[in-house]
This record gives sequence, C-alpha cells and structure tokens, in this order.
Amino acid sequence: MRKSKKIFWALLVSLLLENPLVQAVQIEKSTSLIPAGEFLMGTEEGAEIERPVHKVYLKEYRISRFEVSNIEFEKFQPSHIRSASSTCDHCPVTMVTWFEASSYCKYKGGRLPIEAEWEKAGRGPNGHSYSFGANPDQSKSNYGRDFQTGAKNVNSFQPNGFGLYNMSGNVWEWVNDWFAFYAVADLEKPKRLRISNEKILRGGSWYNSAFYVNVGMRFKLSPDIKLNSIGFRCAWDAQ
Amino acid sequence: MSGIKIPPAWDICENDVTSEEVYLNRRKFLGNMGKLGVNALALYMLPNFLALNKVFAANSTSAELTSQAENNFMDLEGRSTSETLVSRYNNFYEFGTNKGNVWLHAKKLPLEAWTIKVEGLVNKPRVLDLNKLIKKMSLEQRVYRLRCVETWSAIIPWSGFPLRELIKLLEPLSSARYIKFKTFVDPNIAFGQKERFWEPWPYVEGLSMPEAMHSLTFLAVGMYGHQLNPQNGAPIRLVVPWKYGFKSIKSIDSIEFVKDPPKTFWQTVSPLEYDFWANVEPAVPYARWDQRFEIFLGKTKKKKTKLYNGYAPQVIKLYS
Repeated sequence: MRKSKKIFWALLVSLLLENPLVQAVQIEKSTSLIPAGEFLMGTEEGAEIERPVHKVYLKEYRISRFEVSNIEFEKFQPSHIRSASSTCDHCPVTMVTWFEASSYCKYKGGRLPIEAEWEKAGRGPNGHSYSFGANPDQSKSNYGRDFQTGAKNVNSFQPNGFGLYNMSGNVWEWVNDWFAFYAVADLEKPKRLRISNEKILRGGSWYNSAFYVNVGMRFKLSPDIKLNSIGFRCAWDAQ
Repeated sequence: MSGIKIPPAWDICENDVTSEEVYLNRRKFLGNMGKLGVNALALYMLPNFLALNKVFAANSTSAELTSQAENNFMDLEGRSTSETLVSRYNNFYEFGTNKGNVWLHAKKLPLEAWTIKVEGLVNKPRVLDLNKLIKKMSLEQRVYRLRCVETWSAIIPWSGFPLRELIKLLEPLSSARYIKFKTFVDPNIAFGQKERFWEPWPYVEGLSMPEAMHSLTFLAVGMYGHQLNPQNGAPIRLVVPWKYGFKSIKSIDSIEFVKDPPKTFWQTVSPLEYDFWANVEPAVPYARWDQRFEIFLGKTKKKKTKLYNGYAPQVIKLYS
C-alpha cells in the first residue's frame, strides 16, 4: 500500500508540473515583466557595429531573472557535462551551443530573447550602460576576475531595476539574432551585406574587463560553438 | 665587417641590403630621419643612437656585453633578418591571427602620449610618461635572436635599455618576487580583442625578479635604427632572448610587482601546453611543436635549436 501511494503522489506531482497553468505560475515567479515602450539601443562607446544609438520600441515581454542553471538544464538534458568553470548546481549552465540554448527555451514554452529585448532588460529602467549602474564597478558584478575563479551562482550580486541578475558579467548569454549591422545604420550603407552566419552574444563573463560587460556591446560567434563562459536565459511573450 | 653579400634569388634583396646598410651606417640613416618627418619619440632617440656602441653577442663566453668589435654573433649567423620579413610576419592576436595582415591593422594603435601604469609591491605606484622615461634612459642597441614557439626565428637589432635600469628607478619592495606586464585593452582599435572576446585579455606575461634583473633582459623602443613598428610591439616591448617569443610582451601599458608568479595569457588559455618559464630547450617538445629544429625567416633550411636560444652561457645559472 505504501509503495503504491508513493507512486500515486509522484505521478500527481509530475502531472501538476506539466500542467500549463502550473508552468505559467512558475514562469511568472522566475521572470520579470519588461513593460512595453521605447529604449535607446546601441552605444557610442563601441565601434561601428554598436552604432548609431537609436530608439527601439518593444511590446511587453517576460525574461528570466536568472541565467539558466546547471540543475535546471540537466532536467532537460541529463547527459550534459558541467564546465569546470561553472560547477555548482545553481551556477549558470555553460558549454551549450546556441541550438541547445534555443531548444531548452522552447522546452520551457519560451524562446531566446531577441537582442533588443536582452539589451533593454540589461539596461534596466534607467537605461544604464551596465546592468548594475552607469559606471564600471567590480564590487557589483562578477567580471574582471582571474579565469580560474569561474562563474558564481545565478542569484549572486544585486538585481538590476527590472529584478534581473547578472546581465553584466558572470557568463556570456546567447540571444536569438544572427549578427547584422543595425538596420538604421544601413540607411547610410545600404549595400552592406546583412546576412551573417554568427549569432549574437551579450553581457561578458567573469574574466572579461569592463568593456565587455557593457550591455550595449555586441559580440558574435558561430552557433555550434560551446565555451566554458557562454550560457543563456530565456524570454516569453507576455500573456 | 665583410662587404655586402649578394642575397639568394628568393631573398628580398633590395630590402635586405637596405636593412644592412641601415644597421651599419647609422649616422647616414639618422641624418635622413629628420627629412622623413619622424615623430618626437624618434627624435628623442637621436643623440642616444649616435652613441650606440654596445652590441650584445650571443655565443660569447662573456656574461656581459661586449664591444661591437668582438661581436662574433653576427659573423656566425650572417646579417640580421630582413626588416621587411620581421615587420610583415607577426603574432599579435590583438590585431588578428593572420600574420601577414597584422601590420595593416596595427596602424590604428595610437602611440602618442603613451603611459605605463606602475603598481603592486613598489615604493611609489605611479603612471610613467613614456617619452619622459626614454629621455632619462641611456639607449643602446642589442642584436638578439628571437625564437618563436612556432619554430621560426629571426635576428633583430633592437634599441632600448635594460629592464633592470627601469626596475632600479621604480624601487620595488623586497617582497616583490615577480614582475607582471600587461598589454593594452581596446577592442574598438584591436579588433582581435573584439573577435576573440572569449580570450582572457589583456595579454599578460611575467618574469621572476632574477630574470628581470639579468643583463640580457631588454625593453625595446626601437628596431633597425628607428622607432618600433606597431606590429612589432610599439611603443615599448619586452625582449627576453632566451625564452620563446610569446614571453616578449608587446605594447606594454602596465607593470606590476607581485609576490607570486602571475598567471600568463597563454597559461590561462592553454595550461597543458604553456608554462610560466618558457625557456628555449630543444630537447623538450613545447606546446604542439617539436622544438629540436627551427627555420630562420626568409630561409628554408632547418637548423638545430640551441639551448636557451644560444644564450646558455649567460643565463644557465638562473636555473641551476
């Protein structure tokens, strides 16, 4: 009797967790709602690919408050091998390709954020250059460290004004977009090639200097590459 | 010195002769420098260049500098490597991994008003103005072998001053056991730092204090009788001739005195392949290359690698 009761409860919990309503509640708890509106995308501190600074309007959306952790990702892909640079259960999962990151987000009923969503969320409500503020500050983020120190828990340091953790530093984050020059920049150079075979990354990691964790800076990499310092978070259309 | 030799057909004849003439006829060249409109840094070097008379000879039994008349190094190896080759075949990942294109991209490096931050276990942390520093130092020329871990090598006439003279000025504390150097970080200028964003920039290298204080260890601000080229590490770089070339860090903008051996760039990127010391030892396969042989830039014939790149008599005591 006892054994059958255990099985019954295990099945019930499993069904509940797969229930879309239950999932929606879980997503709401672990995400921040970014309100609809304009923000200034790009940065004059960068090079040609970060310019010009331009207005972008986005509808409201949800984005994970945290980078996806090892323990979360391993429910989706139990065979995943943790990076030696990010080993703890609640450290960000790394050594994932863009494809794996995208698949995980779909499994969670969402998607990777588009670049504009990531940057708006990273800047916080005040539009700062760094997720933690207007100026570099190593006390507020995991960046500029020795490589050997590795990533920290996904909930380390203080969240930004949207309640998001580690948008600057900790690990790089895949976003949805293929690399291209900003469309508005192409008005001046309309013949510039806009097709690319690289996906964008944002945010910098624990061993990068301040330049790289500036939320306006753009980096790109082939989507099939996995590195010890690359992770991700997910986004959802607002219900 | 022997007369100018006729180079083989595959050599870059014109430039090789030019580089040899430059090297041997410094006064004539320096007289022309003003006509070329060289910058203030090079002009500062003029009085010091005219006084050049110290050329270090490897393979000498003497542990110290010899006079030019006793320079048997050049006789053994022939002339210095063509400057064209040395300035068009470069490892400087900050400006990309294509060795032949580094010189183009490195032109963007702004060299004016260069400073070096001095910090760590030192009496007085400060920021050095490079132009003012050069005025204080007694410049000399050193003809050194450069041995890359990739098994190519070159002979280059550098101009600069011994690192130990700078260290004496900086007064490190007695607790300083190592010296750590860093290169600049500016991904807007150095596209390699942007493209290879996953690398642990800036480039970091280090020496033990005995190595740093050795008479061979050199800070170069010039080569072939003029200011360093950007692709060769302008405006100031380290030259440690008995170690693999990656130890000779370029475009230095920071010096820190530390207690422990600093983790270098290549140690961080590939700890199984690279160690801190990186001395040239032909019997030891290093990184992914067999180090028993080398090829001089511009040549095709393999030569046997020399222990400590030919500087064993001068440095072996550091490691015994």
